[in-house]
Amino acid sequence: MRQIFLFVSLAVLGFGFYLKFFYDVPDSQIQINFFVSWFLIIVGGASILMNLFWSGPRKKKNNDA
Amino acid sequence: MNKKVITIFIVTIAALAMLWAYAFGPLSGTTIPKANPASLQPTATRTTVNNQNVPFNAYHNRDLTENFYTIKFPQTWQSQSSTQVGNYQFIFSNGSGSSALQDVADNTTLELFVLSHDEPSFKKTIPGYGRVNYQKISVNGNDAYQLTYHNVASGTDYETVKTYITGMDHAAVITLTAKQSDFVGMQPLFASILNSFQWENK
Repeated sequence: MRQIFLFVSLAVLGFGFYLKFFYDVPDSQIQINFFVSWFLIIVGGASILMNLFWSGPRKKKNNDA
Repeated sequence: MNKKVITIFIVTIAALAMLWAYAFGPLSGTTIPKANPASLQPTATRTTVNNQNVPFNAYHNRDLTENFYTIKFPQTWQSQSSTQVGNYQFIFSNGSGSSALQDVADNTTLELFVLSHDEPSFKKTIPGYGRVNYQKISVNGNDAYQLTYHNVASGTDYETVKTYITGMDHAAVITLTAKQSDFVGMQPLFASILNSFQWENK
C-alpha cells in the first residue's frame, strides 16, 4: 500500500515539474499554471516526505513463550 | 506519535495558503509579466528614407526576457499609451502603426498560426477585410510572414501590412496601416520601420 502511495506521489511531483519547466504556457494561462504546478510540487513533495517518515502501528511483543 | 508527519502536514497547508496568496490572493500580480517602464523610454535617432534624413525614435523593449527587441518609429507619429507587454501603438495623420509580441504555441508554426488562426479571425472581425497579398520574407535574418489586406473603417478604405517575425516562443507582429490612397507612397517609410526591427537576445 505504501509503495502505491509513494508511486502516486512521485507521479504528482513529476507532473508538477513538467508543468513548471517544460509545458508551453499560453500568455493567458500563466497565473493558473503558476498555481497548479506549484500546488502539485508541494503536495507531491510533502506526500513523499510523509510516506518516508510514516511509522505504522508497532507490533506488540509476544511474551507468552 | 508521527510528529514529523504532522509537522510536514501543517507546513504543507501553510505553504499552500502562501501559494494561493501569491497566485490569486493579496500578493498576486507578481506572477504576471508587466510592461517594463524602461521599454517606454526611446532614444532619438535618424534614418534615411527616400534620400531624406528622417528623425526616428528607437524603442528598446525589455518586457519579456526571451524577447528583448528594438524597433524604430518616426518621431512625428503620436504614441498611444499601452500597458500591454511588448506593445507599442502609434497614430499619424493617415493611418497607424504598432508592434506587439504574440504568443505562439509550441504545437504549431508561425505560418500555420497566421493562416489558420489570425486571418480567419480578421475575416470575422475586421470590416471589409480582403487579402491583397501574402508572402514569406526575411527581416534582418529572421523568417517572417507578411499579410497585406484591405479594410474599411468609418467609410474610408485602408490597407494594412502585417508582418509576423519569428522569435523565441513569441513572434513580433508589426502592423502598419495607411489610407488606401496613401499606401503606395508610404511604402519606403513602412520598409524603414520594418527593417529597423531586431531581436536583441538572439
